Amino acid sequence: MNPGAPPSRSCTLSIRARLLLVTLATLVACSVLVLVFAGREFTAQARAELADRVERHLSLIAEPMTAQVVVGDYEVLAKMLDEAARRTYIAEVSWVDSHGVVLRALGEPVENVAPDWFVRWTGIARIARSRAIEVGGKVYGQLTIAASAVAHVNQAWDRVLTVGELLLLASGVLLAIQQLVVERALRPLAQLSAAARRLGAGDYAARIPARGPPELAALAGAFNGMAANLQRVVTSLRDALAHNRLLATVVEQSNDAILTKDLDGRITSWNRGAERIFGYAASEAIGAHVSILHSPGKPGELDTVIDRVRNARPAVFEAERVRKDGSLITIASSVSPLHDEAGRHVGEISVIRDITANKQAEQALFVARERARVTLDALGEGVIRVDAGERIEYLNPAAERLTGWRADAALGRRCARATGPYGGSNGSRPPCATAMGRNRDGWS
Amino acid sequence: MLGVALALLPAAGHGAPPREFGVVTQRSALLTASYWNPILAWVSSKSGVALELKLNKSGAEHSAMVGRGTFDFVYTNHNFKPDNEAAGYRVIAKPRGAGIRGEIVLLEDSPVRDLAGLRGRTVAFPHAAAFVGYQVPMQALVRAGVTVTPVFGGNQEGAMGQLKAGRAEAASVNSQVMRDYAKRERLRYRVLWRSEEFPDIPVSVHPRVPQREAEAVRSALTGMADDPEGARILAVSAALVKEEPPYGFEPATDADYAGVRRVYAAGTPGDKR
Repeated sequence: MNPGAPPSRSCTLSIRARLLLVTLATLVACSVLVLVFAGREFTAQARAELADRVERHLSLIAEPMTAQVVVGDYEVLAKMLDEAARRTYIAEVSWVDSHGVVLRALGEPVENVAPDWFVRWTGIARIARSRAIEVGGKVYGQLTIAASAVAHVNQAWDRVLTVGELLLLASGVLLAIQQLVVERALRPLAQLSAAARRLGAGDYAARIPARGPPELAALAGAFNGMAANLQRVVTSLRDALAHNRLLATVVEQSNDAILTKDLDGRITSWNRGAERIFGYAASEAIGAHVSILHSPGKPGELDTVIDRVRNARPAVFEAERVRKDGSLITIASSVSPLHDEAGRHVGEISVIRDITANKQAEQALFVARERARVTLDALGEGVIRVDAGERIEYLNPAAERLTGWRADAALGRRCARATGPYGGSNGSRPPCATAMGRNRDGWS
Repeated sequence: MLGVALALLPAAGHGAPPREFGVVTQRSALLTASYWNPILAWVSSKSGVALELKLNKSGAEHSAMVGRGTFDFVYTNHNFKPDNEAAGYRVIAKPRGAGIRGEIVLLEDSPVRDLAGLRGRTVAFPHAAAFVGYQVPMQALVRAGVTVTPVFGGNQEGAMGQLKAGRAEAASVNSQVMRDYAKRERLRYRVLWRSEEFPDIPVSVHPRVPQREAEAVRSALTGMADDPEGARILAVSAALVKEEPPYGFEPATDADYAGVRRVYAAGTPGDKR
C-alpha cells in the first residue's frame, strides 16, 4: 500500500460501522434464507393443511347430507350446501346426484392479501375433493368441495410476515447487543487514541489502563511499554541535547579556537574563538581547506598536518599560522583524532591558543635578561644576587674573582651559613661575606 | 356471496326409469337406506325390474305420498289408512317371521306401572300415521281414558330416541323395531303395554305396475331368503338393525291385513294431524 495514497472509502469507516455493515449484511442474508425456507415450509404446510381441511370438511358434511340425499330433501340439502360453503376457504360446494341434478353453493370470495409474487411463488392452487355418497351399495351422487387457495396463501403469507417480524426484532436486539459489546470493547481503543494524541502532544507520561478483552489489554500494555520507552528515549535525548548545548556553548564561548577538519583537511566546524583568532567568520571558514591557515611558504608543513590527520595521531605543538589579514600568529595547538558516533575516524579536532603575545613577551624578557647579564658581566664590581632564603642565584665574573667561587658552584648555596662570611670552594670564604651584609633583601 | 344453483342435467339412465320403492321410515333414513338398498339391488337384478328406494322426511309425508300413489312399490302399512285406500296398493309380500305388536315402553327404572300412570305425561310417537306406533296404542289409551301429551319423533327410532333422551316418559313403538333398537343402542326398557299381534308391514304394488313386473318383484322378494346371495344380503342388512331371523319375505295378500284396516278405520285423535 502506498502510504501517501488517500484512504479508500472502506478505510474511512469506523470499526463499529464496519461491524454494523457486516452484521447487517449477514443478518439480511440469513433472514432471506430463513424466510425462503420458512416460506417453503409454510407453503407446504398450507397446501397439506388445505387438502386435509377439505378432506375433513367433506367427511364432516357427507354424513348429514347423506341423510338428506337418501330422503331426497334437496331443499334441506341446498341449505346444508349453503352452510358448508360458509367456511372461509371454501370456494364451492356442489352436489350432483345420479340423475344429473346439480346443487351448487359458492363460498364468499376471499380477498387476497398476499402480494402477487408470493401467490405465484407458493404455487398453492385450488383444491377440490369429491366423495361419492353411497348407502347400502347405491351411489346417490357426488359431493364435491372446492377450496380456494387464497385463504391458505394468506395464512402462509401471514406466517411469513410473523417470522419476518420476529427476525426483525431479533436482529434489532442482536444489533443493539453487538453495538453495546463493541462500544465496551472499543472503549480501550478510544482511550488508546486519546493517549496517543497526548503522547503526540508531548505528554510522554500518558498511559492507559490495561483492561478489557485480552487483545485490547495486550495492545494497551504494548502501548504503555512503547510510551515508557519513548519517555526514556526522549528524556535521554533531552539530557543529551542539554549536554550538547552545554558543550556547544562551551565550545562557542571558549576563548581558544576550536575547529574540526575532515580527513581531507576541510574545515567542518569553527567556533567564535577561531573567528577571533584567525579573522575568518564561521561561514567563511567552514568548508574551506585548512591550508588557508598555513603560510604559503611552508608546503611541507601542510602535508605533515594532512598526514597526521589521516593517521589519527594526537599531538601538542606550537606553530605559526596565517590570519585572514595575512599576519602571522604563533599558536599552541592540541590536536586529537575525531571519531563519529559509530567510532569511525572522520577527521581531527584542534584546540588552538594564540600565544603570539606570550612569545613576544618571552622574547622581550629574554632580550632584557641578556642585556642585564652582559651589563653585569661587564662590571668590575662583584655582584651576587640571592633569593629570600639567601641562596645564591647569580654571581658575576667579578664576584667569581672576588669570592673564588665559580658561578656554577655557588648557585643555590646559602650565602652565609654554609661557609661563613668568607671562604670558597678552594677554602676561601663564601662571597656573601664580602659582597653582602645582613641585608635580608638579598641584594647588596 | 353465497348462492345455491339447482340444475337438472339430462338423464343419464338407460331405458325405462326405475320403479320407485317407497319405504316407511321406521328408523333413521340412513339406516333404512343401508338396510334396503342392497335388498332392492338384489331384487332389481333378480326380477329385471329396476327399483329405486324412496324415503320421506317424515311419516306424514310418506303417508301422503302413499295416498297419492306416488310410489310404484311400497313397504308400508299406511296404504291401509282409509284415506289412502283409493291409491289401490295391493299386498304382494310381507316379512317372514312373527307379526308386529304395538308397545308402549318405558325406561327400565321408570316409576310408571300402568297406562293410568301416563296420564298427563309426555309420550313419544313415530308419527300420527304409524300403525303400531300410533294408531294401535293411541286407541288403547283412548279406551283406557288416559290422556297423554304426544310428541312425534318422525319415525320409530325417532320416538325411541325421545325416550332414551328423557324427553318423553314413554314411547309408543313397533315391538320389533324397539327390540332391535334396544339391542343396538344397549337401551334397557320395560314394556308397559303391548297390543295384539298384527302381520308385519307388507310390500304392496301400485295398480299401474304391470302384473308381470309386480310378479317378478314378488317372486324375487319371496325367493330371496332361499338364494345364497340373497340370504347373505338379508343377513347383512338384518345385522345393521340387529334384526332377528328369520329373514326375507313371504307371499301375502290384502286379506292378511283386514285387522290392520279395521284399526285404521277406527281412527284416533291424531288422524287429523
